[in-house]
Amino acid sequence: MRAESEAAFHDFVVGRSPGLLRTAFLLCGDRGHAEDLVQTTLAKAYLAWPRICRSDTVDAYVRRVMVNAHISNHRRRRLREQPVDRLSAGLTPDAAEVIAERDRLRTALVQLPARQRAAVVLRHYEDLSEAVTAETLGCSTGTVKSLTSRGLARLRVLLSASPGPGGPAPVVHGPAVSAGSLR
Amino acid sequence: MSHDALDNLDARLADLASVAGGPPNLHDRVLGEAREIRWRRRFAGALSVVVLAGGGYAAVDATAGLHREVAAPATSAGVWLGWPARGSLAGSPAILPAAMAAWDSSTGTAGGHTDGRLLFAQDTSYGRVVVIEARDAQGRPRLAILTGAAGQPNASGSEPRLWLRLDRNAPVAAATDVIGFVTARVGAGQGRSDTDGRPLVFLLAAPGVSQLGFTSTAIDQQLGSGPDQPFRYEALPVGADAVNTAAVVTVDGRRRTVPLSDNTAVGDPGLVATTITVSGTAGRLSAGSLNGLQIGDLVVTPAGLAGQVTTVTDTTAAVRLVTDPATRLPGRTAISNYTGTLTGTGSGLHMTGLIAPARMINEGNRVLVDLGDDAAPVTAGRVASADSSHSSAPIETVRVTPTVDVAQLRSVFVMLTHPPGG
Repeated sequence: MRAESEAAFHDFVVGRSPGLLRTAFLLCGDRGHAEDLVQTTLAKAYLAWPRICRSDTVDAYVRRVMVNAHISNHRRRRLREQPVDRLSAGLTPDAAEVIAERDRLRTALVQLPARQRAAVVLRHYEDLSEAVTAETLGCSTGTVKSLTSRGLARLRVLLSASPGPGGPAPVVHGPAVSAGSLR
Repeated sequence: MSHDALDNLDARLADLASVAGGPPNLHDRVLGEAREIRWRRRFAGALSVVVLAGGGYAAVDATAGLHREVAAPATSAGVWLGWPARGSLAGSPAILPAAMAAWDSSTGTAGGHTDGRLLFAQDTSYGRVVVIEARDAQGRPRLAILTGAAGQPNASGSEPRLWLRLDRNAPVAAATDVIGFVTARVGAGQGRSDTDGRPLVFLLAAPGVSQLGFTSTAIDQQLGSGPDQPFRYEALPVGADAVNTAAVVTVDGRRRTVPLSDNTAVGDPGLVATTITVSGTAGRLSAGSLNGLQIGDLVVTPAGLAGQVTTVTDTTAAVRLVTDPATRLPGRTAISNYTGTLTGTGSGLHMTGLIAPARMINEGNRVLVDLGDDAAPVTAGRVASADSSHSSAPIETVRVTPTVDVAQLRSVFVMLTHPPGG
């Protein structure tokens, strides 16, 4: 690849990675898998870069690669790795309700089948039209409507079934913590 | 005003997505993986020709060697954390090979890890913790945390078995102040790994971090440590997880909170919070198979075992409380490790089938339910009295007082056999 094209790809990675990571996080449900998914997506985009870099549809191409890679991974992966990673700063102890709500939504989201999850994320997070979502998923707009509708219906059931921030809270008996710091 | 569970879904998704934070510098990793993909495509083409020519077996064997040879230089140098090996076992030459072997043999991982380097190894009071970095079969730098029972090598010199608990991209050195994870078990439920079912937070600080601590909404307080403690671990109450627990580090005098992102490590059972309605020795949960519940899952509170799931619908589940006469669970006494069967009596528990020497089990001893390696032991109760035919006869039966007052149950947690999602 020529230097000019390499530089353009570098700029694309720097500029688009944050957004891709956020979408990937919603698709995967955890940060480590999301990072892997973005990395694989961009690697595939790199190989196709000479062909797609002058196109107006680079973002659509990359989005399609990412969704397809996610669905393929989902089919292949029997036992999921569940990595733990650092995230952005800003958590405070009094953010319990926010954290509980995020966890509730994330737990519900990852229980959707991969294609339903992708449809919900593309329509309601990426704010894509049905037509663009259909193009991304490689299906008809009718299928997108069906996937989204069924995904939202199941999400509603899951969120209704799980207690919200005002739901049951643990009652801690006895000493809550046993310390054990060593060197 | 009616409330829909999907109210403001768009905004809530955006809020959840923001948790992903900023990405690391992926450029070098992307180029490395692109080279790998390109090579695989070319080799796959060559391989298909070889297979067609009748040389399939030899060609497949050749893949592994060629694959690794090509993969190794695919990622640029300088991706490792570069932290010194720390912990009391850091100087043991057998630890790294044992950890690499455990990593390679773990189901669901790529296997074939190379270029391993040890970051941390120590026997904690809950079990052994080992942190390593290595390249996976594709040459990508990865980080793994492994745990197992603490102890000495056996007679043949083999270290105690380790289990993979975390496998992720190697973090970027410049942006990493702490490595941490929250897990429901450490040593696969054996020996000194007992955390009574409580999750454990483990943190390892980067060199230069002057203070290391954590905060968790599950305990509503913050615990910190001084500059002489590069790592720490704490048992948290049931309900604590990586979402409501965060590391707190001080670097160059500046204090920062570093949230941990995921609920569980590899193979941990998930935990579902739900409400319960109790009637006699039975209960009904307001969570079901849609939440990942399965028959046999343990129902617990921070005080201990409440019961076991017996039937499941999409949104509800029936629970047989521990006091139910139909309860039959494998039990063992804490520390002394005498095993028996826990049976409900309607108001309490009996542990039968014991063969324990006289005076080896005493009033107040804790009794655990231990379903095996896949779940952490859970406290079922405490010994109320030990029965034997005379003072020197072996103890065969003990009465056990449950640590959970089942009549007062309102909210519980279900320990999932298999984590939801995927």
